Amino acid sequence: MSIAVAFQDLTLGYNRLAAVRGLRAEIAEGSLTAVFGPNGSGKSTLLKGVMGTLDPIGGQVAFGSLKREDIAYLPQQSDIDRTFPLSVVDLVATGLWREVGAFAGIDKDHRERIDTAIAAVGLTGLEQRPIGSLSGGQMQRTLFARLMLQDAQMFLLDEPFTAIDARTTADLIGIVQRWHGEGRTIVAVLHDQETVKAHFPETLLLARELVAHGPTEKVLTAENQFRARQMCEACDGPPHVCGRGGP
Amino acid sequence: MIWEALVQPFTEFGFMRRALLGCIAISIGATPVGVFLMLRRMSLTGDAMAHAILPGAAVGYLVAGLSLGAMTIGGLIAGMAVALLSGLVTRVTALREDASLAAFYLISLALGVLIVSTRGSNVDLMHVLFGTVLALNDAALILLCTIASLSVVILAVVFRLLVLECADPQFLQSVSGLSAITHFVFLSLVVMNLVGGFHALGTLMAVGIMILPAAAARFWFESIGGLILMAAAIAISSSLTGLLLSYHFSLPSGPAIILVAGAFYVLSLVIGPSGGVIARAYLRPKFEP
Amino acid sequence: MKLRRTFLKSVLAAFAISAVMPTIGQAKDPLPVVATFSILGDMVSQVGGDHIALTTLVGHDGDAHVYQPTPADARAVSKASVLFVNGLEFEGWIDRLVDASGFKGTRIIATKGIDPIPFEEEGDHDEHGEHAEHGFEWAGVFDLAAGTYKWSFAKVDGDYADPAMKMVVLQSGDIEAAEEKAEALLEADSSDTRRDNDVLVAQDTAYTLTFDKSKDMTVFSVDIKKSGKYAFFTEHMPFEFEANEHFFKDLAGKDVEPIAQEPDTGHHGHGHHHHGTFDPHAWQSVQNAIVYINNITSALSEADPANADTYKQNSEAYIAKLKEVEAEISAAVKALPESSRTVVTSHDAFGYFEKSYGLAFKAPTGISTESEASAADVAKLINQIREEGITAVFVENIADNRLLEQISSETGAQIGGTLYSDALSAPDGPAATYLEMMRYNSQTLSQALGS
Repeated sequence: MSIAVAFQDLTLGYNRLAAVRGLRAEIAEGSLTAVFGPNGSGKSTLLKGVMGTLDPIGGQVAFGSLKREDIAYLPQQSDIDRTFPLSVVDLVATGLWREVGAFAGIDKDHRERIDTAIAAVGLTGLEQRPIGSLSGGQMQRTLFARLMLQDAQMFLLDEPFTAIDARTTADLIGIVQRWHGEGRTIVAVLHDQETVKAHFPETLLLARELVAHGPTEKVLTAENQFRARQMCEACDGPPHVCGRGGP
Repeated sequence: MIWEALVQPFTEFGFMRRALLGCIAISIGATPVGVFLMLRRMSLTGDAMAHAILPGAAVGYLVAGLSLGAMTIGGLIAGMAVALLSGLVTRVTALREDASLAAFYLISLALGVLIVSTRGSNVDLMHVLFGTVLALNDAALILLCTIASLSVVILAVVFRLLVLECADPQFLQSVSGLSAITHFVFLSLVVMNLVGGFHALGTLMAVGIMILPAAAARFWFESIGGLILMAAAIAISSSLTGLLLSYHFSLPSGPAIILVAGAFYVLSLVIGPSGGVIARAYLRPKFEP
Repeated sequence: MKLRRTFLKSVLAAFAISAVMPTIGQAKDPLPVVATFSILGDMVSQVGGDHIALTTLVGHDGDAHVYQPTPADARAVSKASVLFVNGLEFEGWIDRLVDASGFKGTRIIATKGIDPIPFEEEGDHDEHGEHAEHGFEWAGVFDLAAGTYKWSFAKVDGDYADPAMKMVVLQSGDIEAAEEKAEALLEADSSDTRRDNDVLVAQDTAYTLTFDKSKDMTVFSVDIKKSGKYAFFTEHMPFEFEANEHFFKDLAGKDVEPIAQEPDTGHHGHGHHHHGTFDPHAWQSVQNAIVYINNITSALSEADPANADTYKQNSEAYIAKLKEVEAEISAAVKALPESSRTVVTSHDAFGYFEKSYGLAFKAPTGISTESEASAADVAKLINQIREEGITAVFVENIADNRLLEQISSETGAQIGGTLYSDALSAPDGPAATYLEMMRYNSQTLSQALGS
C-alpha cells in the first residue's frame, strides 16, 4: 500500500512556540485515520500543516501518491463567517472551485451534482436558506455536501462531529465511511473516544509529539492515553499556547 | 409643481446635472465596495483609507496645484502604499490587519501634514481636499465615470473570489492561491473609489456614500446581489434627494447628500424587514432555526 | 516665505542671546513686531521701515481664515513688542496663539475705528439688498416693564466710536415688522436731538444722540410708559460704545438683554465685542486702510517713541499714496457703464470695496473661505449672471476656484482675471504690496467689465 502523506520530523507552531514537535508518521493511501489527543496536543495544527496554511518550523510534510491539490479540508466551523449572506446552495457550489475556478460559469451538469450532494446530506428543500439561519447540524451537512463536490482523493476533517446532534453525526459518519469505501484517504481530528473506536480503524495519538500510531485498538490503550496527558501537561509553553491547537 | 420641485433644477442648471451624474457614478462604483467592506467587518477601514489618501492628494496639490491628475495619482499612491504595507505586515508578522492599517494610515497622515506644513502651510488642507460636487468639470466627471466603470468591471471579475475570501477565507486558501491577490485587489478598489469620491464629496464624505447605503441595505436583503442593488439604489436616491435639498433649502451639498443617506440608514434600521428593530420585535421566531 | 525664513534665523539668534539678555526692544535693535497676514504686514512695514523687525505669519497667497499657526509663529509672537491683527474675527486662531505663546506686548487691532459692515444671514441678501442701504446697523427687541431705563454710550480707547448717532424706539416685538418704519424714520430729514441725561420715549421720530466729549460716558434715560416689547434701531452697533459695562440697564443697575436682535450676535457677553458678525475684509476700502495706517503709526510711536517722527513721516507719505490710489479706483469705477457694475467672485471678500466704490459683488460662498456652497447659492448666482447679463467672473488668489470656473462655463461669463482679496501675491507677482494690489484689482475689474 502506498503512502499518501508522510510527516518527516515535522515541527509546527505559532510565534516560534512549537505546537507539534518532531512528528514522524505516515498516512497510508485509503486509510481512515483518527487524530486523537488531549486539548492542546496539536491536532488541528497538524491539519493546517498538511494544508500548507502553516509553514513547518522544522522537518516537512511529504506527499506520496497525492498532491496537496487533491486534498479537501474541513476546518472548524468557527472559521466560516456565518453572518455572510450566502445561501446553502451558494456555499455548496464553492466545492466546484477546482473545476470552475473563479471565473467560469456553472453548467447544467454542475447543477445536478450540486443537487445530488445536497440530497445526499439530507438538505433538499433548504437550498435557498441563508447559512446564518442554519443549525449547527445543518451547517455541517452543508459543508459535507461541499466536500463531496470537491471530489478529493484525501479528506482532512477538523472536529467534524463537534456540537451537532446524534442523528446528523450518524449521517455524516455514513458519508465518511462511503468515502472510505471508495478508496479515499481520510484523516479526522476527533475528541470523542467512542466515535473513534467505533468507526476509525487507524488512530494517531498526539500529545505535541507522537505517542502512538497504528490500529485504533492498539493505540487507544489506557497506558498510551495516560502518557499523552502527562506529556501535554508537562509541555513547556504557556497555557494559551496549549489552547491554540483546538480542542 | 412637482415638476418644478424635482426636475426643473436639473433641466435648468448644468451644474446640477453634472453633480447628479457625478454622484450616480460614485454610487455605482463605491457602494458595492462598501457592501463588501461591511460584510468583511471592515467598515472603518474605509475611514482609515480615506485618511491615508488625504496626504497623497495634498502632496499632489503642492506639486502641481489644483490638478485633478496630480491629486488623483498622489492619493492613489499613498492609499496603495498604506494598503500594501499593512497587508504585508499582517502576513509576515503577528500584528493583526486592523492594527497595522491603523499604524500605517496614521504615519501617512502625519507625513502628509508635515510635508504640507513645511511647504508653507498657506493651503488649508481640508478645504482644498473637500471637493464640492457642484464644481465638477469635464475632467473630474470623466475621472469619476472611469473609476466607476473600472470598479464595476474589476468587481465582476473578482466577485467569486471576493465572496469566498470574505465568507470562508480558509477554504479559498485551500483551493486557490489567489487569496492574497484578491485582498489587495479589493483594497485597491477601496482606494480607487475613495480617490474618485474626494473630488466630488471630499475625502471624508466619500466614505459616507460608500458605507452608509451598504449598512442600510443590510436591513433589507439577505443576498449579496440584493445588497449591492439596494445599496446602489439608496446611494443614488440619497444623491438626488440631497442635491434637491441643497437646491431648495440652501444647504451645503456634500453633507446634505450624506445626511440623506444617514436618514435612509436610520429608517432601514427601524423598518427594515431583515433584522430591523420592528422585524426583530415581531418576527423573531421566523429567524430562528 | 523668504521673510519668514530670515526671521526664523534671527529668532533663533535672538533665542540664543535672550538667555543672557532677557529683555527685548533694546535701544539699537529694531522693534520686533508681528503682523498676522501679508496685507497688514505690508502696511506695517510701510510705516515702520527699517526701525522694525517684522514677521508676517500668513504669507503671500495664504488664507488667513483657516491658517494653522506653527511653533515658529508662537515664538515670533512671544518675542514681539507689538502684534498687529486685523480683528473682526478675521484671524480666528490668534487668541489661542497669543495665549500659547505667552505674548506680553501690545495687541493692536488694525480695524479699530472703522465702520464695520455687519453681515447678513445667508439667504437674506435678496430681501435687504446692499449693506449700505440699511438705515440701521443694529436692531434689538427688549421685553420691558413700565419704568425708566438707562442706555449708555461709553468712550472706547479714549473716544466715542462716532460723535453722534441716530436711534429709533418703537413699540413692537418684531424687528422685521417694524424695520420699514424705522428705516424711514432714520432716513428722514427731521430728528430730535438729545444730549447727556436727556429722556427718550417710544415715538415716531428718530433721535440724534449727541455724545458728551467731556465725559467718558453719555447716558440717556429711556422712559417706558406701558409694559411691553420695544424695538430699538441704532445707526451703529451698541457694542461699539461699550467699555466696561453693558449698554442697557434698569434703574437698579441690572443689565437688560435683548430678547431678539439683528444681526444676531449669538452670545453677547458683557462689554465684549463679538466680531463674528462683521465682514473682516476692511482693507478693501482705501479709507479703512488709512485708519489701519493711523492705528499702526500710533502703536509704533508708543512702543518706540525714539522713532516716532520717522513713523509719522512714513505714514504721511504713505497716506498720500493711498489717496492717489483711491482716486484712481473711484475714477476707474465711474468710467464703467452703470449696467456692468456687478462682479462675481469666489467668496464675499469685497463688501468694503462695494460700499466705498459702488461696485456690487456676488459670491457663491459666504464671507469665509471655510463655508461650503449650497446648490441654491450657485443656482441663484447663475440666474443673476444670466438676468443681469454679467459678462465676467473673477477668481481669487486664495480661494478654491473650481466652482467659479464651473459657473463661468455654465453661464458663458468669462473669467475676467484674478483678484487679490485676502493676501498679497509673491514679491515678483502683480500685487506684491497693498498699493499694487488695490491698483491691480481695480485695473483687472475695469478691463474685464469695461470691454
